Amino acid sequence: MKARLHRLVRLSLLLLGGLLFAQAAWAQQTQTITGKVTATDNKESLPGVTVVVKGTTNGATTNGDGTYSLEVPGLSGTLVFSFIGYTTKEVPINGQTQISLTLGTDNKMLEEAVVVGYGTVKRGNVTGAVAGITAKEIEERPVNRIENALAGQMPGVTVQTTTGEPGAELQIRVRGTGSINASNEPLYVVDGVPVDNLRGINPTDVANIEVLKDAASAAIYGSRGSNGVVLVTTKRGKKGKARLQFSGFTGVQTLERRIDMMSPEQWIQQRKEGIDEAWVNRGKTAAINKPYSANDPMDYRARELSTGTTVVTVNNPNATYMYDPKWAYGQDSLAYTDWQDAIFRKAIMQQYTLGVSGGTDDFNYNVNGSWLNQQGIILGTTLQRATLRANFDAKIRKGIRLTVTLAPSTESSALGRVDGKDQQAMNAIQMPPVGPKDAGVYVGAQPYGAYQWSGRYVSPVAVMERSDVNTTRTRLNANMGLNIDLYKGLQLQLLGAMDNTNILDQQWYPTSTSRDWATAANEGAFSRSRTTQGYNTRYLFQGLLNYTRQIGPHNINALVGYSVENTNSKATMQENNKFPNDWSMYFDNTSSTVGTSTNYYNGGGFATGKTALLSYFGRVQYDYKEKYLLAGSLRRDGSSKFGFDNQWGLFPAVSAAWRLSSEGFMQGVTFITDLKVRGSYGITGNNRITDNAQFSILGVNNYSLNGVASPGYSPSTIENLNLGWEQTSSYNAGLDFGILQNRLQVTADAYVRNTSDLLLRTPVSSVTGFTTSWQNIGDIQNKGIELGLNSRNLVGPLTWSTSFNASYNQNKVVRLGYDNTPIPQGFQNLTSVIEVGQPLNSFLLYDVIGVYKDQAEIDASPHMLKTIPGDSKYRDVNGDGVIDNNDRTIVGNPQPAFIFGITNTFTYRNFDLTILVNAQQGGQIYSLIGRSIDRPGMGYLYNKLAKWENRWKSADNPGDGMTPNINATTGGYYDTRWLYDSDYIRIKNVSLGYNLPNRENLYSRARVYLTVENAYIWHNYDGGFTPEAVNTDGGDYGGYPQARTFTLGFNLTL
Amino acid sequence: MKLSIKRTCAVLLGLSALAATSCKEDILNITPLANNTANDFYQDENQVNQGVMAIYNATLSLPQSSNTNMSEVRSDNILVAALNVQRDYNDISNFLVTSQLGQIQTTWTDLYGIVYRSNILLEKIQPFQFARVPQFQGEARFLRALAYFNLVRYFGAVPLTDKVVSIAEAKVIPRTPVADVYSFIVEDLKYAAENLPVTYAADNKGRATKWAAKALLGRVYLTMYGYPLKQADKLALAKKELGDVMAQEGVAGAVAANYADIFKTVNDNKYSVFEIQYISGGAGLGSTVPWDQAFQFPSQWAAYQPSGLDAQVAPDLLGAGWPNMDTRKAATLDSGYVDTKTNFKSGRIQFTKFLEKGTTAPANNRDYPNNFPIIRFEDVLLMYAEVLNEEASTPPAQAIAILNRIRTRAGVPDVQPATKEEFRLAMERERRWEFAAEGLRWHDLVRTERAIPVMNKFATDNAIKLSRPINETDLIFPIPLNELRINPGFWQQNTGYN
Repeated sequence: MKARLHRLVRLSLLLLGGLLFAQAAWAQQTQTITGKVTATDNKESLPGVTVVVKGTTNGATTNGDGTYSLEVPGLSGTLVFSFIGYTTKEVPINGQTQISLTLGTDNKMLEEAVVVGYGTVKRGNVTGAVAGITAKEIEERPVNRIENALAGQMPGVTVQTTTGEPGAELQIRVRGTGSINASNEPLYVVDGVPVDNLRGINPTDVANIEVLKDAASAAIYGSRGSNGVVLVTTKRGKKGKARLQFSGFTGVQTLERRIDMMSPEQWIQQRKEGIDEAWVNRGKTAAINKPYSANDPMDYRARELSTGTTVVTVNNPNATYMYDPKWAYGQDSLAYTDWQDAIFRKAIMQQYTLGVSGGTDDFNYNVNGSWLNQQGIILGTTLQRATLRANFDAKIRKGIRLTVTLAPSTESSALGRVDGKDQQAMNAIQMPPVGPKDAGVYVGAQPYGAYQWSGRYVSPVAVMERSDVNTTRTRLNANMGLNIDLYKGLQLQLLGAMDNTNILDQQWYPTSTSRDWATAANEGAFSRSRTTQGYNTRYLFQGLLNYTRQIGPHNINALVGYSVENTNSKATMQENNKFPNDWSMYFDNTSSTVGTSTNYYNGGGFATGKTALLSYFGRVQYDYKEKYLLAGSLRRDGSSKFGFDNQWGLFPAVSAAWRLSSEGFMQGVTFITDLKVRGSYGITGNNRITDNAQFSILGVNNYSLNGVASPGYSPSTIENLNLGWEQTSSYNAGLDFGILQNRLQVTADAYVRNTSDLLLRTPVSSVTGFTTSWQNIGDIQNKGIELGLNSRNLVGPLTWSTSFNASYNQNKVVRLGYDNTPIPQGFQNLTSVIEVGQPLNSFLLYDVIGVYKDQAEIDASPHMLKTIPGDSKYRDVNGDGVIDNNDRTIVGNPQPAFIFGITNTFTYRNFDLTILVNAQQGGQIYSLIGRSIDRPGMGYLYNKLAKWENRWKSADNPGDGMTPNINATTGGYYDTRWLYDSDYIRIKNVSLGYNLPNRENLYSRARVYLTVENAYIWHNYDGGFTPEAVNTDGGDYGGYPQARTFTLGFNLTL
Repeated sequence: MKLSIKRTCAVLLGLSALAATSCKEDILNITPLANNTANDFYQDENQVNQGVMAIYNATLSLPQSSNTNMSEVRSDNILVAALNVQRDYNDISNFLVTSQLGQIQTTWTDLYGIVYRSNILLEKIQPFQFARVPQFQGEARFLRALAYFNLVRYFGAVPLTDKVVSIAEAKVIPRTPVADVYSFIVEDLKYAAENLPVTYAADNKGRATKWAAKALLGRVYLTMYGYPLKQADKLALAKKELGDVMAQEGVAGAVAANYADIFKTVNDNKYSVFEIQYISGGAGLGSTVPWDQAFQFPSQWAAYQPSGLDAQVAPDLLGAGWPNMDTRKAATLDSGYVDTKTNFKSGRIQFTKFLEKGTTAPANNRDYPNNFPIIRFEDVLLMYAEVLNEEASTPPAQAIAILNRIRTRAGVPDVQPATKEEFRLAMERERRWEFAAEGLRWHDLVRTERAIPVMNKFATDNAIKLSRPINETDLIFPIPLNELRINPGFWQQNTGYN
């Protein structure tokens, strides 16, 4: 009560004070302050320096000769002089009208600490290839995973949102794809502790993210560094009074882009054509043998179709040969459903974070709690997440510091059911847009039947609403470290960490979501449920000795360390089906069966695993006057995953840099602020294969004797006690320079990554009893160039800065197996291939060049055995005059060659505007969903792409020349009609922010902002929702589309 | 300061102690937790028995991957009209086989899977002395012989191994000449015939018996007598083995009064000398044969739609060539149905011999409980009759009697072939009807040197476009391309293929 009164009084005083101040200002005479600003080093005048009265928007800019003139209400307060590339200075006015000063160059950017493996290094002294982003680029983005915020931000880092499902894993590739059977994901390290993934981390907790791209930087992570390393550092407390930070956003998500399907009217029209065609064909059968015509009226058809026992009339029609009489009345009698509208929705997303941070000389803390609640844009999908992260740093004695991190999080979601073959995204697209009036969007689902003039299906709305797929993930990430200063510059760092995850997944599909519900013997006959429980733990202990010493112009930093990591996992799953009713998810009776397979991943049973990794490592960094920089590291890793005879691997790296700008001969070149060349070489490894690949695992091979199952066992894999690391040796050459007082900073890199000893499931002779075995055979090469550019284009009251990055990567398979045998890949192993000389997973397809217009064209061109007019025309690749399997040809690959990102940031007074655009070019995507919505031979029953209106109908009506006859014979082949360029340009993010004027006594910072995520996309991918989709065998069989998100957020610091 | 140094030392000491304990490198020696490694297995009689079961398990795929897809489809029993899409059975049926064909690789791999599991069992059983050791060895060698017998008939000279081989060793095993492979098979079967029990208790029924080994040996000898080895001395050996089994009617096997009963689940292990055992239940122990041999059946017959061979039963089996009075015809083929659930009508005639209409047990369409016969007792009888005819200059009475016994059971009138050649043709036709869909036809045609004329006529009659007439190179298949690529240039491909 007392406190409240106190505050009220304070507020009143403040208001009063404000009023008085305003009056005083009005009453006061304005004064003019003038002066000149020059540079400290060369005494040259500095134009463009911003001069403002602190805490106001009142300001001016120096002109060409460095002079300024500023009107002020009174000769009190403080002037702030700022200029990009120079240190900001504050000068109290103290009654002066003439204030001139010099500004020194600001090398803060280069002085900034960059997190590298097991330590930090000044940005200016980096010798490898490292890219990063900071909290600024992450915290206001409405993303549910940190990785989302990396897209378009760094050269050489490709972030692909393969599914728009809230909270789903993203695909991150650092400098291309280097592995076939082992993982291509980078190693994630949070606050120095390697973790499995970044799930459950609140993006707001992150201080910065660095990506180690070249082997020299990543080699300190040895056997896990091949795919790059993503280092996440979370925010820690700083000395100062407690600051309370409250931030949040709320927004609405909508579908980013629809697929253009046939309208109800178009669908009815093509359905009529199909019925007429069937009718005419009926007349041609031997049993009928009458000249039926497409124009035959329905009453005639009804008479023809009636037999002694079946009476067919216009109102009791035969759906195969007759129209639905309701078509004449349209929506008065039928439900017209736009299934994309039916299943997609505007969905709310919100997140709030409350944090407190601060500290004293001896104790710093930063505690953040957050709550995310996101509805998916597809009915019935949600994601909720609560996180806590508490970081403490305590000085126990002089020279002894304790660090503690506690980061529990829990994520609860209702997802799944959408991505991939036969799932609901695909279902929603292919559903016929016309159905019975009473059923509406529940057509096909209990208690409604399917529409008689279409196929058998069940409403995706019913499936999403009635089924239940709930996953709860609880994660506890904790670590504790002790840093002890032993002797001048020598520090011992001990760290213990754990990362535990519990997963409970429950899936429930009641009979009412089955298209066969009508034939169910009882209410729950087709109901099924699946419960999976999993538990993963990861423990780390790590000891480091770190030595930093400066001896005259020589700077040395050295570290040696070792670490031991253990992982344990267990998972059980059981499936139940045939329930007595349609609401019980668990029911233990004899009609309920529990999965018996011992392979959890294939459904049912139990899985458990355990791994250990033991490492010794060291690194030396040396520089002479920060002019000549040298670094070398070595790591020795031992892993339980590899053959008993080959458990240890050695991963060396060296790098060097030369800062030319510090040389005497460069002193005269004032244009160049900083210039550095870098070079590095190193070897990294990849150990991401199944835990027990080296062993000959005992397989279950039962047999029945006289009707009773009898257990049988035999080896199911070949032992390979020599199985070892996949090795990547990589070369990197780089150039960093800054010009015009670092207003323009450029980083360029070129690299070659050679991956050898591929962890490949190599084909072996069947005479061994097996067909494949894990072997270290094969080479892949990635090479590319990267460019990063930061520019401050405009300074002054209106600032404009641009950050641009571009990268090009070329991927090539160099060697495979024992004799380069190509490995078929993709859908049914028929859509792509891994072949020497080609990029990984190149698409191997029939190349469509048109449609055979008529028989004459078939006769005159190469064709297949049974080609008919209206078939897709394939290119005769080998020119032998016949189209056959040998004419499948490589027509692209899924890896984009170029990726781009550009961020433009504008500030004007208290406003700021950021626009991020990213793009990719040079890759392809295979639309497997084309098999459902764009395939000849699919008939007339389902919905299809709108372009089918322009299909080949007859020699006289050949359509658009690319869309074949609906009865074309090529529907079974995989051809380029479903191959699209995955190129896109996307306005990834637009943010407009406003910083409320300073009110030190109320808050230290208050900000509101508006953002649009995925604001707009340009692409030519008509065969699916997004050109980034990957969900079935390397292609898109229909997936969760991405959302466009509009959010309103705030950030308040007290 | 002094204190601080002491403390520092203590910490360092503690650290190094910790390092010493936690860095023990044996923490890396982690063996699989959920599944044992095979190295720990085969420790006692029970585990060795389970190892034997695993060999039998490898034969589960045999009826589909060998008997149906490689033999029946290749023969004149099945006609595959040219399809829109690439299907392996289309290429096999229409003599378009290349070494890249998936089915060739599948069959090869499946058969070597049997060989491998037999070899590892024979290796691991060596230290043991228990009473069933000879039986287990006999079973392993019986099944290995069955695998090699298929391999040699499909691929000719094949790499032969009687032990477990490493990846490197497998690359340099030469293709063993056909005659040597047969000798190896004979040795295995002789051992099996000597060491296998004459019968089993009810809970072990379905395992190979002495009679199964002798019957298979009889078939092997009869094959060696024919093409390609043409070893005349094998006829007498065949007669001996087949005669031994024939004398055991009622023990080794039996002739069912009603033909259709042979294929019913209630009669499992009752009539046939050796059959592959199947049960339903969704545990992967069911039969895929009904699914494979038919493209569609109506839902009132089976709960699951098969989608196997989009093929037709050969026209000459459908028509008057196979009299309708033959009860085997109705038991083997069915056609013309209306699916009551989907109103789908089909006039297609398909092999439904192994489909018990209305079975509800399967958990899916590849989970049928019907056993598949490898050697039927009728086969033993007919082979014996064939031997008798081959021995004599004119058909002996006993041979004709056996032939007519089988005909009488099927409800067709007796025949009286007057010459040796007439008997051969009568036998060929009888075996085709009796064993349709069982995978014997192609091998019968090959060993009697009838395959080339019969199949060329079949192609002409059914307008199958052949690039050239069928010749001797078509009597075996190519070695799968992937196998050749393991060690390029080491193995020669079979003549006529590349």
